[in-house]
Amino acid sequence: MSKYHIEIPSHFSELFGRLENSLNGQSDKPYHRLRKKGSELLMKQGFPSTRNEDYKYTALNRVFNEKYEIPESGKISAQGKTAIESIKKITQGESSLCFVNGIYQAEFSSLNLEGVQLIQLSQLEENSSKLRDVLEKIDETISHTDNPFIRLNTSLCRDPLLLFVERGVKIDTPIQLIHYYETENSSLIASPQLIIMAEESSEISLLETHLSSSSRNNTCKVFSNVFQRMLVGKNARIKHHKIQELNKEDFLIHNLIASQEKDSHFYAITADLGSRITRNNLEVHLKDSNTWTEMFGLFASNGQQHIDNQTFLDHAKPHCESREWYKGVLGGRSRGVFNGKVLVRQDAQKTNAFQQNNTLLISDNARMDSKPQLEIYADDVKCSHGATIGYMDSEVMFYLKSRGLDEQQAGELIKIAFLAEVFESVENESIRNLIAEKVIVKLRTIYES
Amino acid sequence: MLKIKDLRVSVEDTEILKGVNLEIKPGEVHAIMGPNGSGKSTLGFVLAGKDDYEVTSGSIEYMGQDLLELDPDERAREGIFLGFQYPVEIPGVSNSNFLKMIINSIRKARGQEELDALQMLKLLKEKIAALSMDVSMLKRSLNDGFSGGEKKRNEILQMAVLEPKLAVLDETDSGLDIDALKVVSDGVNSMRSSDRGFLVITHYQRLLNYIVPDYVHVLIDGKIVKSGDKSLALELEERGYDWIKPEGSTVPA
Ligand SMILES: Nc1ncnc2c1ncn2[C@@H]1O[C@H](COP(=O)(O)OP(=O)(O)OP(=O)(O)O)[C@@H](O)[C@H]1O
Ligand SMILES: [Mg+2]
Repeated sequence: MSKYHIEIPSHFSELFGRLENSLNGQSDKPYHRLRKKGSELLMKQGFPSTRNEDYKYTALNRVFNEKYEIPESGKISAQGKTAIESIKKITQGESSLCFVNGIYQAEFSSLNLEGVQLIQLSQLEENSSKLRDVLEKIDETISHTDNPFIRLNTSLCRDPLLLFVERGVKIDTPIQLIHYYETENSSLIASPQLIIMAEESSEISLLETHLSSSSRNNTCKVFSNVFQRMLVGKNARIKHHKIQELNKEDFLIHNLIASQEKDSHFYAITADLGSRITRNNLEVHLKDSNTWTEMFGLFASNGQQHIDNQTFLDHAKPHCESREWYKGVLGGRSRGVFNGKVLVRQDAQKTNAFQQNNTLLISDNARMDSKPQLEIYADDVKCSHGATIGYMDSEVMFYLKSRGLDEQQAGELIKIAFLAEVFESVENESIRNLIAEKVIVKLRTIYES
Repeated sequence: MLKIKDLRVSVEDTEILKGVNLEIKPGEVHAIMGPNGSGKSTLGFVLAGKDDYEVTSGSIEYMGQDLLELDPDERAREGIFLGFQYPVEIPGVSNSNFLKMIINSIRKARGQEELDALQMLKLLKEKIAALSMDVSMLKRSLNDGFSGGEKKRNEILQMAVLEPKLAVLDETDSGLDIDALKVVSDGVNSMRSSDRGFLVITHYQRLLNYIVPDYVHVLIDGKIVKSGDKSLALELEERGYDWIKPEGSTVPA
């Protein structure tokens, strides 16, 4: 174990065995080999310490110290049902996949789209080529990743899923991924895993929401450790929208790796409003030329919240374009971290990469650590990056007040205006409005102290 | 409606206004002229309540109350409007949303019903047409990338919708082309009424041909050193400021 890691605490290492025992019958299925491998690799690797450059500003002790239960499947409260139903309404509930504590709930889900299939890996024939493909991808990822949370997720994932979009199928209405968390008397670790294969010239849009129930013993915490792998095929498009509104004691580590084939488009936006600690690990690998990648982020925090966005974009091929913009408003004693790496390899001529991070601090006690990094090995490229961290402009404030807006109205307008460029990147109007609405509500709670 | 008495104002320990006295009655138009840096904008900002400016002595009474007690937004709701010499650009705030917001918030403050979307649109269209502005200006971000003249027209548009009791217009004429000067002046003139006062800050007598003032004051080095009627502006245009010796100045004439 390197000096950049700490040993996996025993209350974590025990979890795999506990899951294994509860799997009855599932443990001789092919996927279980990956759980085992994930667990073994994790034990060897350990968890990251703050000596690790990528975790310098994000201490996860709070996450590691908590003792979690592995959620059981099939239980959901009446309150949970109501919450899920109301989230479904956002898209008329036509296509929605529901997860309670990270476990897929078939009976609350529906997906009736021609050419789109949701497959539980456990349901696939053991010698089917689809299963082989998927297992190979996951195996490859957990073997080569330096991200221990992907290994943790794989070792604890009860019901891995595949969303398969057939060649040429274009779906405009967003497919909802509804994550709901509830617990009464113990802390929980959720480990949802989803592989998305968008075949050649297909298009889908996803709306992922994370929400936790507030009625619980208030010492209990939810730790959701998500892993998603998205394969964007030739000339295909995936648009991924995420809104996170967990309880203020909960943790989210969201791991997403996307890879893009020739002429493909990947768009991702994350709006992080809730949780005690959020860490988004977003990686995009460009496998071929002429791709278009967009990564957007909004964060709005107060109190003791900590929101960390880590992105890695690997420009490995020529004629690819990327645009990355993260913006946040921090109040109270909250902290934000942005660590965005863009690697432009020697082969990636004619790359056009833009990266920007801007933060508005509302309070003197809030803090932002921003590290945009551009590593360029090609000579014929157009790349720019930058970061700003600032306070509210008193000239702007005075101008607005001189028109009769009070402190609160003016402040709200400034904060929303600050985030506007990121909102406006959302093409789908109802999603854009939804994100704006949620962000505005959150902004109203962000003050100086 | 406005009584300024022996007003002294400092910015970062430098005294800028050094005893200003001025009274404006309802229906009057006062013009203030004076060299660069003499404190004209400072006076405007102090009336609007900008907090970088420290009032060290003197008083400002507005409609029978102590103006200095009020916050900038309260002053605006009480009917004070400042047209900025340099309007602030605010990217991300749409001009139309901003106008709607300020209209309804001022109406609310006055106990009037808020306007619905349709009434709002009608009002904005009407005011915009009166100022020969293009409706496309509404869609843009507030003052963001506006030309100098567009910003000034936008200030007047805001004044028109807010219907203030006392409007302070700080160099609203600079940056305007000849046609725009006429349009903006017409806009101001159409708002002249027996219960509304204006304080017009300008460098150019030309504006005062359009907006004819009742009084003209000369502000030099933080003091009003001369007051007169509109003919004073003509005299200033001809002779400059040199002939007026600031009161208490030690420089020989
Ligand atoms: N915030 C400030 N900090 C420091 N000095 C200031 C500030 N505001 C104004 N001043 C100074 O006060 C003096 C008066 O400025 P003011 O803007 O009121 O002049 P003005 O008469 O409006 O000039 P102009 O005709 O050029 O617009 C100037 O010397 C200016 O530099
Ligand atoms: Mg000035």
